[in-house]
Amino acid sequence: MQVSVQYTTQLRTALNLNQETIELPADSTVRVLLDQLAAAHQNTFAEFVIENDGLRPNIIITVGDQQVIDIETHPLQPGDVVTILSAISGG
Amino acid sequence: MTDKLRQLTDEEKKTYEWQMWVRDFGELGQQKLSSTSVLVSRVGGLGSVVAYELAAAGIGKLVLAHRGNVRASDLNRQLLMTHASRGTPRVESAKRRLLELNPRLDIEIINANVSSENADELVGKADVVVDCAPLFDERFAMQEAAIHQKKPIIECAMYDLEAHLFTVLPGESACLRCLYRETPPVWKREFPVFGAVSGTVGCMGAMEVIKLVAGFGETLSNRMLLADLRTMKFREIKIARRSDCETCHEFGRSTS
Repeated sequence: MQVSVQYTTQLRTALNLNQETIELPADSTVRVLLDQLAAAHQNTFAEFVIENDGLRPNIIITVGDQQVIDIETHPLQPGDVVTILSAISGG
Repeated sequence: MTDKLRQLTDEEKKTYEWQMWVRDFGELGQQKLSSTSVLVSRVGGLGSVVAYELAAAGIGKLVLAHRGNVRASDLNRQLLMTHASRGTPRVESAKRRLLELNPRLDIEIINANVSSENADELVGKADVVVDCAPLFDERFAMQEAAIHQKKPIIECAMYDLEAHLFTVLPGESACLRCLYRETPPVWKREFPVFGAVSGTVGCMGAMEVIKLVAGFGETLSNRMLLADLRTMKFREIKIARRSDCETCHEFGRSTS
């Protein structure tokens, strides 16, 4: 199945990428997607997204308009739009 | 918000006539606004515009906290600063500009940033808090003080041409710590942004305050607005309180 991944803020800048389409096995979870993305964007994901094999505490993942609470179990459906949000602030 | 509403003068009724025509706002909404105090931290790109819009709308009192002097690099976005005010305290420039717009406004300026040492005192001066600070330590300190004092807080943020905005109602909706447990390790205090982006978020943040105080419309509680001015796409995501949140767990009730 295919899902769309949208990158935002610093991650978008670091990857120089707004979004990409990812092919995943059927019945994949958000965790499977993140592992695949981390393998494809090793250094950037290590810096911005993944820490100690888990999600960095300043990152939010959404599927559609829903915040993902548990990346290990949250199922993905064909056509889902996954957004990776990093904390930003003022200035 | 205070329970005792201030009566409007004839001059105020003339000044705010156009917004008192807004459905569900009216003279009562204006009285509520005129009886409310707001802490804005800081008065940079976001906070300048929040403060300016609230001053224009007739907020009763502004408490402005921001340390330091105006620098040339402030002037692309910090609209309460001027070329002539370079080298002088930002809060003084902000106060001068705001009083030019609205001489009736009560303004208290603090030439300091919010910290864990002063957050309780500064938040205690206001009914509503607007968080426009660049450092997460400031944001978390202000968040904890506001939630402890059961005061709503508007979270404004920006980067490049993107913006995030949401409103925290203590005990009812997700707070900053529910979303982000720690300071981002790669966050830098200085980052790319246009004044038109901070201005957009600042206007929307001020509107959140106005709706919240006057009690009309829907605030961004338990949802976050994501604005991308590069593509002009605006969307919202649903956000939820974390049951183990270090900041707002004291309220117990959790949706997550």
